[in-house]
Amino acid sequence: MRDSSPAWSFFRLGGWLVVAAWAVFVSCYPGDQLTVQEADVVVTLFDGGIDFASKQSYAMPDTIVHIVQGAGVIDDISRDFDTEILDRVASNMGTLGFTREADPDNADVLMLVSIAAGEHVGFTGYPWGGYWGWYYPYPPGFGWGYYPWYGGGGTVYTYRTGTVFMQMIDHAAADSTLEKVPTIWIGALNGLVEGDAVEERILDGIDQAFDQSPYLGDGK
Amino acid sequence: MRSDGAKTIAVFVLASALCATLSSRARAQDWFGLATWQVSVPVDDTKLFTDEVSFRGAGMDFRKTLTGGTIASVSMAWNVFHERTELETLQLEFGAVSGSQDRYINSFPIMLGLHQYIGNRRKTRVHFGVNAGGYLLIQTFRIGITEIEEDAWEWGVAPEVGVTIPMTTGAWLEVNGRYHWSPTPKNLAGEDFSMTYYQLNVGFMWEQ
Repeated sequence: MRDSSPAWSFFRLGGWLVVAAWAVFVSCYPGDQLTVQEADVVVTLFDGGIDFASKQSYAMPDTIVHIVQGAGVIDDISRDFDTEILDRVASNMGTLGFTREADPDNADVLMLVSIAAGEHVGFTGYPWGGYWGWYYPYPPGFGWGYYPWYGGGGTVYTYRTGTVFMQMIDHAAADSTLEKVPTIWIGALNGLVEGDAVEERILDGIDQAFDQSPYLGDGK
Repeated sequence: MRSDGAKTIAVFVLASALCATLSSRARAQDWFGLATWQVSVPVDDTKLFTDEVSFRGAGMDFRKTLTGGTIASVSMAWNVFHERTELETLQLEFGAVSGSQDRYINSFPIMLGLHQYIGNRRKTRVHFGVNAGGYLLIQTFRIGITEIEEDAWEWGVAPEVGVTIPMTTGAWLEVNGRYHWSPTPKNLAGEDFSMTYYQLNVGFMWEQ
């Protein structure tokens, strides 16, 4: 009988080896382990029509603006690193050749620093929708299976992210009719608000934003 | 790889489990099963997106003798290309983005093939042929905590050349190479790109 021959039995195992290989691939999928530092991203954008060589001086407030969503929302963003953040921005601007002016009217541009933070909630659960999803032919999410503590399983997770914005605005080109002031450069640092090295990551991100914007130093 | 990829994997695993346990009353020496571990090397446009050799690949073929040494096949496989970069800066037209990146291509070829085996089946045989069919391609790009993923079905071909070495009655060691080419995909930026990679497959073939 072909079915009982050693060769057939052994190499039928080959099919199961493939199945096992795929199961291993799923469980050992590469890249899903991400450290807090690896989640940081720095974005810079600039107005391509601006001649940065004509911008020699800047003014910067001594306060960081906190951006919160909606009226009545409590501002719980820390101010522990405000001084260090502003000092690092000033240091990078100085390295690029900008002169800092105390009076905004004497400056070519204004540098405004702001911070936004938000809480994110996620849920991972079994795709079959829990106990009732197994027992009855109902789609996931129907009945008791919707709630994770009724046997469906799953995990609710939260994480907090923060973004530091550095906006360079050309206040001399402000349009009082439209009440708009053009932003000619923006640097944004985004990352998880977790771990012990938040300050270091923010300062490194500020340095990176200016490193990837060498055109700011044109003509200085 | 997220929901669509996970569903595809589940389907493939279940299909493989089913096929692996099939017993056949067909005429002897008619049907063959083939299971391979697949190593893939990206080239050209594929290499520009993920520049790393993939050792995460597995495939399952079912082959049937048509006449003489001519064999038809149905194959399916899963190949994972992945590259992680640390703090790489991407230049934009008016700006730049920096951060660690994870880039993935999950390739699921499902193909029909026609192969010509040369020589006596009880001895080492060379074979060559061509596979053609579809690829489910899942392209994923992650930077920071932002991820972009696109999946699409594409068409392609995969010429093949290989050698089968008899191990025992009705069982062979199989080594073959394939060149995968799918000219129809678009990358995550919406630009045309040609999905191409070389592959070395090692595994076992057995009579069903």
